[in-house]
Amino acid sequence: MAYTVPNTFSNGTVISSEEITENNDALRNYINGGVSASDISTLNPWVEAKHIMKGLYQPITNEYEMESGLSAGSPVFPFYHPGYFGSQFHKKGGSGRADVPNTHVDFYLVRDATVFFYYTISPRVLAPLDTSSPTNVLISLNVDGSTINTSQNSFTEQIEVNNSGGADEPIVSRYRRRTYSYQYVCEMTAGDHTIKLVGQSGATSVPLKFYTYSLQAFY
Amino acid sequence: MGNVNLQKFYPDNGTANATEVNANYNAINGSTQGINNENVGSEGLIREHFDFNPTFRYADWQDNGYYVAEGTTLNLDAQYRSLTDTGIATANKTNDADKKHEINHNGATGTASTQVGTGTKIGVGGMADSQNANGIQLEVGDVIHVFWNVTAWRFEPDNSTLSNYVCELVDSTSTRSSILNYAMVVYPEFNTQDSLGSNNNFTDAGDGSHGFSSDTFRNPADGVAPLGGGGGVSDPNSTGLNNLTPFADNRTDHWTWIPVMMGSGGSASGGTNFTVAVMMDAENGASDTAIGAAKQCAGQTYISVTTQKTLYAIQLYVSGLIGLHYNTSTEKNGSFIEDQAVTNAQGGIDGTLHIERASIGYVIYRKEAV
Repeated sequence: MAYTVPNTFSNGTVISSEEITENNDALRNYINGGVSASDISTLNPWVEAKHIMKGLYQPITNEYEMESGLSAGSPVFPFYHPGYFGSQFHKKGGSGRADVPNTHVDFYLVRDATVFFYYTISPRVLAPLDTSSPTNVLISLNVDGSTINTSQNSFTEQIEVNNSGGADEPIVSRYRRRTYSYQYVCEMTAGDHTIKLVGQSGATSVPLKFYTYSLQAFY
Repeated sequence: MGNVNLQKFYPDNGTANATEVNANYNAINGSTQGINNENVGSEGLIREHFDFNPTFRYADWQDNGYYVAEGTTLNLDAQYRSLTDTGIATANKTNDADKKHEINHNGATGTASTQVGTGTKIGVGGMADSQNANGIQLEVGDVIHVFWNVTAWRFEPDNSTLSNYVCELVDSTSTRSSILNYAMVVYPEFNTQDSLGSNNNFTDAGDGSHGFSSDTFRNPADGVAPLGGGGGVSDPNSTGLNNLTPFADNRTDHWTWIPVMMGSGGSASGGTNFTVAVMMDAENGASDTAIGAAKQCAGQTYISVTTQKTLYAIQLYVSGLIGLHYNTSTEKNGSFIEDQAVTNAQGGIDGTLHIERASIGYVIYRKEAV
């Protein structure tokens, strides 16, 4: 409820000091805890980031303190199957690399920050038509258009290895369904950023499974 | 309603006119009927006004910058041997230095470097100059998160006849022991002694004199043993030099296990119809003796600081070839580094792991009081 003025004065009469004090006391009481939700303007969204008290997440103890605004409990990161990647997106051997679909993370930093990014994904390269010459798929992390070379991983088409001939016992790589993970730390400036996976492929179609990531920014 | 402008009474307006006084109070009343952005401060209380970066003390990441095209033979400095040396296949390796190697190849040529900031030797707290790391004084309660990736480019057995690597698990008639359990291990060590990051001063985080953690860490090189022991019996407890390294007694979560070979057996009674292949060979490509191209392997660990130390650098190491073993007396699983060559009558295993690109990063978390 808005501040209500207790006393109104009339021209030509003495302004009572007692009534002035009563008006001021009412104003003091309003300021000191009398503001209610109905007093907040709802005509237009006006609260900006600068009005929000900065919360602080303690990852070690998993608690939030000095909180104002949105908060969440234990983080639940996305976990999904992005779909497919393959030479239909980019033919291996060509220049550059193509985006791996559905792996983008777009975000906005209010100010310069130290950013931690972590992801896992499990590409399942299918068996080739000709098992004597399996092809590879290369996938890397890409931050704002720059590929992080160290993150590159290689996935070979699933083949049966068989080197003894005759009544042999072929084997399939234990790596054929491996999970690929990578962590990266960098300094980023305020503004828009994009983190994504890019790759090259000699295989036509590569199923991508179990993609998940975590993103943290510390100001 | 926004800002409120009030009539002043002194010194320019000597009379408190009732109309003016009423106007002042009405203005205040009107303002409180719709508090908006003009009525609030520009910012709330921000913790960084008290202390900058309160949730972590420092974070950094580096890579070795060594990237080559498939089909390339890596620089010799990027080829890490087993304890049984390449080129000395008929002799037992006696140089314990090959129990582990610093992963220190660096730059476009993959040339070894011992300098902080190159290879996988990352300075803590940034670099004071081109040679020295700043170091960070760890405090009790800090938590260090170390994470890394290495690209296993190729495993090159010393002996080109892969059937020599057939083990008892895939061929009961062979005197060879298990190849399925063989791997090389990548793990970090820490330097709390000098800003130059001398290799002589790297130890595990729980080292009695240099470490900063009360946890006991097991390094792969702690146990060295000949595998075979005669008759294909894998029992390093009875034959080994430093014996088995039990997993249960110490932390091994900082190990990145890189399998290097695998195989399949023939008939149930053994026989010759087996298949053996190396796990990765990006130099020659996948084939009937190579499962696939390069394999990138990731690892990470968290360590709680219990002793105040200045940490200067962290570096990755790769072990010699490691085997697994179960001790029926102690009923513990463990590992050991093989020191016998494959051609040795007792049946060992040897080879070289080629590592291409590698990266390492860390975050030191510290909970600050306000």
